[in-house]
Amino acid sequence: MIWTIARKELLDHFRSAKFLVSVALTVVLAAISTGVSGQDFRQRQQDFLDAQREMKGDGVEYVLLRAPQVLSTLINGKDRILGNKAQVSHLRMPAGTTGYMGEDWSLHTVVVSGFAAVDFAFLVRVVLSLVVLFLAYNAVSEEKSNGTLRLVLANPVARHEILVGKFIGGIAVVGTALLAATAISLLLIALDPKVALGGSDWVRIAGIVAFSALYLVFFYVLGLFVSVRVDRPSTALMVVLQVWIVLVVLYPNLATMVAASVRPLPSAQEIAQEKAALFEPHRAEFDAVSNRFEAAVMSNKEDSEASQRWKELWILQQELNWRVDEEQRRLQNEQASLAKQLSLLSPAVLYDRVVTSYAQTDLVDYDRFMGGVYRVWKQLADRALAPRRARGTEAEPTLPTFVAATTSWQDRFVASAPEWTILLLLSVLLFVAAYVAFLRKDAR
Amino acid sequence: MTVLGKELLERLQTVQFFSLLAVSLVVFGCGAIGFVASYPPERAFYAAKVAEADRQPSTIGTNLYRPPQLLRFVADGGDRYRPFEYRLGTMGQISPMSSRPGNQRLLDVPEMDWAFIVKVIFSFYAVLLGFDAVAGERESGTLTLVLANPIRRGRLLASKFGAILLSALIPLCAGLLLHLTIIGSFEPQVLMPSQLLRIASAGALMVTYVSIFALLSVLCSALIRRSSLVLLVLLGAWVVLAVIVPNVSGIVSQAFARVPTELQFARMVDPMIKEQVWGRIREIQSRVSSGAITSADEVRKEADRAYEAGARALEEHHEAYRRAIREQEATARRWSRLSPAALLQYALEGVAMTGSNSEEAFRREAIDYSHVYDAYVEKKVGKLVRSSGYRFGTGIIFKGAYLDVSSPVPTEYSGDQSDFPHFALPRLSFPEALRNALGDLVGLLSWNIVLAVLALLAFGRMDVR
Repeated sequence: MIWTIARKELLDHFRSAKFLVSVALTVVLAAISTGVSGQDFRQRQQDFLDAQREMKGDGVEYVLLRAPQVLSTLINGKDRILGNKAQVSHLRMPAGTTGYMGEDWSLHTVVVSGFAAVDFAFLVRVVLSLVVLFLAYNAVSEEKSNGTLRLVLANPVARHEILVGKFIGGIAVVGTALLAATAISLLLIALDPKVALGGSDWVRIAGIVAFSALYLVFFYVLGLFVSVRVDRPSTALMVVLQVWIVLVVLYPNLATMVAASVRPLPSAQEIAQEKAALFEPHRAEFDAVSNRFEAAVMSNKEDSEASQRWKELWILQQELNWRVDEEQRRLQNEQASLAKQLSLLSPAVLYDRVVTSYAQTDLVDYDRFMGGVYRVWKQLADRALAPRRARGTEAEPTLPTFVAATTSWQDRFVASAPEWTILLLLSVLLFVAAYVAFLRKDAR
Repeated sequence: MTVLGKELLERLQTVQFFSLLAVSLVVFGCGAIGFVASYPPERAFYAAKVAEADRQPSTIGTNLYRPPQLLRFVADGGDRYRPFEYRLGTMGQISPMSSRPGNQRLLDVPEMDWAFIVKVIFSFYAVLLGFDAVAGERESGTLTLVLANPIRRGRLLASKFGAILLSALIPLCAGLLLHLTIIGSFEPQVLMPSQLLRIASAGALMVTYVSIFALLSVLCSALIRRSSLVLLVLLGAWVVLAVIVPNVSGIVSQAFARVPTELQFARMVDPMIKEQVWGRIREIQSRVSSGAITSADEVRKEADRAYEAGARALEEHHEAYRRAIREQEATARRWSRLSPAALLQYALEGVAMTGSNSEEAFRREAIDYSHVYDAYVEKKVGKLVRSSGYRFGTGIIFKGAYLDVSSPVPTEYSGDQSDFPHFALPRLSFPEALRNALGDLVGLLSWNIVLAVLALLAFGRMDVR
């Protein structure tokens, strides 16, 4: 009987105009967003490959480049806004990446930063969650208001079979809508000869689709619960929509605002002052050595002692600056962690965190990249401070090994276990609540 | 009781009205607290940077700072992505230095300013308050009874529209009052007449926007029989107009704007240096070798001119890059104006002097100031040398000897600089601010007029049985 009811629900939805219009809208949006994101990725990938060939540095300054993430075609995350280039020499340890033209982050993406990214994540988080609520809000309430619910219950069918059948039918419909959006997106990506997806990329995509499905199941169960509790379909729709706007729009925003207010970050001035204060004990010596070094250069004489000491102090300053920058990253992580804790019950935030993690468009690998840049700088600094080899035996300086291992999909999947658990738990709780409410519902 | 009174009373007793009232007080309250927490430190930081620049007048260059806008709680305008520090060198070189440090590890959420609250939340609730204005009464059978009375359809429709609008405006006014009370307690300058005028204009714009969705609700309610279907259609329209169109324009502008990429701009720099700088230096060398240039001073002068031309070309190249970005942003904004939500956003930015209006006004003022600064430098130092982020140095063989020629650098004046000209922030008058918002206001009014006419036609011709 459950499957009969499920099949009936499925067919009812497939024949309804609202389902067809919703799926059509989703497919069109998926095509537009993936098409444009794909084009943007292709351009960034080409730029990266060209920059690797062209921007090699001059033997003193080296250019380290951050590759764009292929799954930013689906989940934009922060990948587009983070810069691609870190220019490093023994005298310069950059605080972060820049664009190819050298500006902070990348001015090129400032253009579209005033607009929310319309990617696959946006589609699922905002559009599909609404579509699912539209499909679920009247699962029970419409039958109650039409009077067909009591007719169904007049048959020898258990109440739990009706609810489970509706749930399964609804999930199948939700799955169809999600698959339609996924299929068009993946088709556009896979058919693009310049976008190469590896084995681990497909595993990540599967993870993204699976979590998207769980996210939509949550909203379906939410709609079902409200539909059971509220008799009038229009009232049920209003209730689910108000819950949606709180969960998807307001709650994430407020949690972020509270986290930013409770754990404010130091201003650029405070950071600069901290860096200056750390170097202050060496300032006088540095100024004196700089004057000696400059005088030697201007008079075309060599003062190896001044030159060496100047290098040592300059490199020390870079090291101290790096420590302050690391501390900033730690504070930023703390602030983000607080926002994460405050928004534990927002499915939209859980969803965003997991899919950007799977797509590697969050800052985890960016931090590893900067860690790799720091290690290169350390090697360059050590090389610069080492005693000079005799002239004529100096080999062509080569770039020290640059290693910035990315996190594996296994690590990412394990790290997302809490989000999976919370969302699954919320869905189960809501379903149990709907189940209990339906068993006790007056069907007249 | 009048029809309007009856309609209004009905709506004031609905769940969605109380929900909107609660949501309005919470979001406006939180928005105000967020502003009060963030604005003073940013203002203090700005003041500290300006004081620091004032304490260190220089004829090499100076830093200009764009202050946080007081009315950014009305419409933030993407301020966190815009540069707040500019380096002004000699000969009009203005380089944006940095934007405020932010935390990219946080979820990207829109600012909880008035623009966001009204264009997303109030439009949403206007739909919830108005979807059953006509269809609901028709379903329950009371519409025929009402129209059996001597009441014109137009008047009835206007009353329904008025009731929807008022039931959305009451929570809006409550929220705004709470917001202004909180902010006014900490930043009393918000309550000055000049600011209140702008705030009042913002209020009028927001009313114009909410009324679009109220009109859309009565129109759909008149056209479609079933109220639940009306709600679905209206929500679809809301998703498209308030959520999708404003944001899709961002990515569409990227697809259609033919702008060279960053790398394409970056790779033009080296060839430009080779051609504009080293090419000219080589030409000087050959003129020296052929005897066309006979004195060391003349060699240095020619080299200075070559470096000056190179620096100017590079500066123009950087400016072309920044201009391309500004044009791309303008394209994205043009496309997004299909949506009333974007019209409201830009109109509010115009009135509040935030967003790209603020950045553009600052740039214009900086360009004007650069002429004053150049005059000051010339007076103090006696000559004007172009500032540049590029430094060049080489040697030219002159009469068998190596003559060192490097790119000239601006000279620091070591005397009294107490007459250093101070940079005055652009003061945009209220009429100018309104002019910025005029086009978008006309757009909002057009939406209102068209929807009002359609609603009247639909309701006038509908079968109420």
